Order: sequence, then C-alpha cells, then structure tokens
Amino acid sequence: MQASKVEFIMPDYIKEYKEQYQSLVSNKGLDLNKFEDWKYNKLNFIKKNKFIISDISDLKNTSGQNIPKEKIDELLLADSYNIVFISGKFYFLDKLDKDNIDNKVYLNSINDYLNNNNYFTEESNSVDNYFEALNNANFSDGYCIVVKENIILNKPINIIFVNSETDTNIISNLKNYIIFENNAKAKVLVNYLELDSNLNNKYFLNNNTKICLAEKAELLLYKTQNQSDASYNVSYFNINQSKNSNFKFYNFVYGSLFSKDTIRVNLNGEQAFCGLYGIISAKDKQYLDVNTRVHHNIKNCSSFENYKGLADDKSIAVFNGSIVVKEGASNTDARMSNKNLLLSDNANIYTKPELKIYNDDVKCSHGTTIGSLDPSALFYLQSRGLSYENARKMLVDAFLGEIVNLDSDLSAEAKDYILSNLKN
Amino acid sequence: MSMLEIKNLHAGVESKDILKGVDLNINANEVHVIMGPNGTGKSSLSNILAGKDGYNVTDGEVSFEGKNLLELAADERALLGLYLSFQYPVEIPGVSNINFFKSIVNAHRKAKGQDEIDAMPFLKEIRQKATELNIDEQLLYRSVNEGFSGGEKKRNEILQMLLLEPKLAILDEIDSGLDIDALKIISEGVNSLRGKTSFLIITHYKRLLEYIKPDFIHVLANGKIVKSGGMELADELEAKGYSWLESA
Repeated sequence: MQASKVEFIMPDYIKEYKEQYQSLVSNKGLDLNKFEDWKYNKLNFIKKNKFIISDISDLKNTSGQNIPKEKIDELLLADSYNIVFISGKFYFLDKLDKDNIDNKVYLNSINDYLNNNNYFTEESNSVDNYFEALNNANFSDGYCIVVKENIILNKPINIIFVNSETDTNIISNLKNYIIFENNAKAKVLVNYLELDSNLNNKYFLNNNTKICLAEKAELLLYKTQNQSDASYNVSYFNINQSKNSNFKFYNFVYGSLFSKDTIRVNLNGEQAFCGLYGIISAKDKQYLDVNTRVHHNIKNCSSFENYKGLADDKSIAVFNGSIVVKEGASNTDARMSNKNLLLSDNANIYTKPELKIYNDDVKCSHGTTIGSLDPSALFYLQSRGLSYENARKMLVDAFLGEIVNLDSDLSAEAKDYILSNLKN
Repeated sequence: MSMLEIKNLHAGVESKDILKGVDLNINANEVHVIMGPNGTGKSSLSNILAGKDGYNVTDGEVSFEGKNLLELAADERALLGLYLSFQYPVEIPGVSNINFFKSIVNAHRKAKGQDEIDAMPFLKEIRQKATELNIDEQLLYRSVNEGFSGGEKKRNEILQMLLLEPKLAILDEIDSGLDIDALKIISEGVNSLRGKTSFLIITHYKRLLEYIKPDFIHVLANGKIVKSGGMELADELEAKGYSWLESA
C-alpha cells in the first residue's frame, strides 16, 4: 500500500462545464430554499459558518501528509479494494494487485477518469437543488468505479472519507460515479468516518453521486455516515437503472450536525428492482434528513423501501419518501415503510410518504408510524435485572434489527466492519 | 428479621386507593399464597413489590433483607433476588428468547462480580430446563413471548425463574389459563426451587395448592389481608367463597 500523489490538469471542457454553474451559485443565483425539497431546511448555517470552498488547485497539496499510516490502515477493510479520501481529496488506493483487477474494474479518483472520458456532454444543466449546482460548479474530487461487462466482483469496494484535523471550515465538493456495465455485479461500501472518534471537526462534504446500472447489473451499496457531530454532509444520489438491473442501498445515517440525503431512483428498464433500506439515528442537536424518490418510468418494475428513524435528546429526524408511477408503468409493485421511535420529549420526527400514481393496474403501499418505547416492555426487562439503559438499548436494537440484520451477500467481516463504523 | 417485611402498606393509582394497610412477613424458604376476590389489589401488590411505575405509596414500609425496597429501581430489586412472574407476560418483538435469557443471566452474574456465562454449557442448561417444562425448543429462538400461547408464556416465565434462582419469587396468577398437565409441569418447576427460594403466589384456584403445598394462605380483600391460615383456609374459601370475609 502506498499513498498516491496525483496531479491533475483540469481539461478545458470541465472548466467550461463548471463555469455554467458558477454564475448560478454566485451572489444573485440560486435561492437556497427555493427548491421544494429544501424549503423547510434552515440553511443560514451556510452563510454563518463562512465555509471555504476547497478547490481543485489544492490537489497538489496532498492532505493527510501528517497522518500516520497506521491510522489510515486501521480504517481499512481487509480483503477489499480500499480507496481513501482525506479532507475531500483522493489519498490512496489499494487495488490488491494480485487480483489483476484492472481487467475487471476501473477504480480511481474521478479526476483521472475525467481526463480520459468526456462524461458531461449528455447532461442538461438543470439542477435539482442548490447543492447540486454548487457541486457542479466547484467539484474537486471524488471516486469513480466502472465495473466492466459480465464481471462479478466478490470482494467489496470500500471507500472511506475522513477529514484531517487541520482542514476545518472547508466545503469539499465531491463528484462520484458508479457505472456498472451489462451483467456486472459488485458491492460498494461508502464510509464517512473520523480518524479519531473524539475529533469534533467542523467541515462540509457536498456529495454528488451518479449511479448507472446497465442491463442485469447488480449493485449492493452500503453507506455508513458517522462523521463528527460538528460536520455537515449533503449527499445527492442520482440512480438510473436499465432492464433487469438490481439495486439495493443500505443507508445508515448516524453522524453530522446536519445531514441531508437526496436519493433519486429512475427505473427505466423493465423488471428493474430497487430496494432502499436505512436507519436515521439522531441524537443531541443533530438534524438528519433523508429524502427519497423512486420513479417507475416503465412497466413491470418493483421497488421496496424500509427506513427506520430514531430521535433522541433535542434532535430532528426527517424522512420524506415518494413513489412516482408514470403513465403506462403498468404492473408496478412499489412498497414503502417508515417507522420511527421518539426517544425524548424534546426530539422531533417528521415523516411524509407520498404516492403519485398516473397509471391504473399498479400495486403501491406506504405506511409510516411514530411511537415511543413501550413502558411495559421496559418494565418487563428491568424486572429481570437489566438496567434502564440496557433495557432501552435492547428495545432500540430490536426495533432496528429488521434493517441491521437483513441477509445479504456481504461477508461476516464486512458486516462487522459496517457495524463497527456505526459505533461512537 | 424476615426476608420480606411489608408493614402497613398503603398505595394507589392517581386518586384511587388500592392497598389500605397490608402487613405481611415472608421468611426464607416459606411459600405464601394470596387469594382474594377480583380487584382487591393482589396484582397491584406484586407490581409495587417489583417496582413498577405508576403507583403512589402513601404510607407504610417494605424491606427486603433489611433494605428499603421502595427506594430501589426495578432492576436493582431484581438483582437483589426478587422475581416477578407476570400475569400477562410482555411480548418483546425482535429480541430472541435465548439472547434475552443470556442477557438477564449475565446481568445477575455481573452484579455478583462473576464473569459472563459460557455459551455452550448455558445453552445445554436452557435446553434441559425447557424440556422439563415441556417448552418447544423452537420457542427459544423466537422473539420473547411473541405469538406464544397463554400456557407457553407462563412456562416461559417459570423458565426464567429457574435460570435466575431468585431469593423471592412472586407468581402472579401463574395458573390462570393452564390445562391440568401444564399446571403440573409448572408446579414441578416451582417445587424444584423449594428450599432455595421463598414464594408469594397469587391465585384464584385451590387446584394449584394441591400441587404446591403452601405454608401460609392469606386472603386479601378491600386492600387488606383480612385472614391468614394454613391449607384448611383454602378449603373454607372453596366452600364459602369470599363474601363472609369481605363483610367482616
């Protein structure tokens, strides 16, 4: 394993691409709150915090130079392809050379990819929200994964984002691509962590991730978000699925003072399936928000969604989930469930399921609940000798178990790794 | 000094008085039975002893091995050796019975300064006790009490009691809804702890007392113990009912 030092020269077309958006986000450009999905977010912290935008030209100045190698090694998942970003900058890639992975997968910093591939030409310049425009205008790095046709990757790709103690008050705009060609199958873990759980760094990651799954491609994606409680994380996912593709996304949102995930899935080919599962676990003064929308654009697709929310102390947990069934998307099977536990009288939970159905002959369901821990169950456990704290933990773990214990193709080591990344 | 001493206990819920001066002493290894009409505070007494929230104790004292029980949280009482078998055992979805047993046994071991129990011998012990209680092994791996029949729930309560070997076990209507075979099995479980554990058994039926021969029988009526005696009292109640005591 070695730290890679990379220098990129920004191609002209990227410069032009960014310029289109720079005017949008400059002074009189986009109103932060003008977008429907953001109108309830108080975004004054953006101005108040005076974050500095991390620029591509900083890349030479490789972050993480002062971080001992052992610290980084501790974060890695054994027997996987690890990519590490420090303070939003590509730091290192461990491709396990013996696996001859280059024939199967392209795995690198997005900058390397964009130097060789013009990816933006097909894009329109309309944006879904302010942060997407901000990302387009300023992105400085990110990861890129291309799994080639007919390749089945058994070892997971493990992406780690950490922040150097010395890099505070910066916004890093990350652009990420996950592209699966026909019949490609792989597991991707994305972890937002800290080098040290005591760190309380203030920084902002603005992520924009595009996922394209070609025919019969299968992606199992895990995201564990457990950054410092002073950090900010905005993540935008745009997923396009072709015929017979299968996408499962487990999203564990635990960290950050402010976190908002926007997940947009487009089922564009028949028999495509997407499963969105997740936990939103808010405490202290956290604001954690997940906003999903699944578009059934064609007939015979199915989607399943199950999010669980917790809010303790003075925190706020938000779930907005919508299913949009386009005209002609017959035989759609779409299900959504969001159950929440309010753990404190001062916490808030907002949940809003939405169905927009423009076709007959569909099966759609949604259900949301907000409850608190059952006092009789707590008493039962305590009467057996369990402390209040342990009884509460047992009930909360049981509530989350449905998501945490879901069977998957992941190895026991990878599962343990994910769970250990969720601990404080 | 008795193991459990209840002196002049007055308690209620909100503005309603339920217990109006209960006195009761239980010594080590004694088996006491409380009988009485519905709604006289038998279950309230057991809940108050176990430390359930929602009751106001307005007067009186309860000590357990010399400690003021009313000052302790439910889990602290349990760790001192008090066990309540619930009239309506609570379902805990998502927590497997076997993991629950392990957690509670380890909580007790920790309180005694012992290491966590070894998984394999413990599993063997549970299986053996479950077999004795005629509990289907499948139930061990299901969520605690979830979807159990009434009888299965009661046997699951007795199984926990056998694992914890409490100093004092309060059995709240352990016999209600049981068929005769289940009643026998549960009684055998209770009897296997005699000599180690004291019992406070709440029941409506004399039938249970034929299997578990108590040392004392008390009648709780109108929030007080109005009569105490031996097995002969059960016969008298069977013949005459409670009304002669309530009016007394």
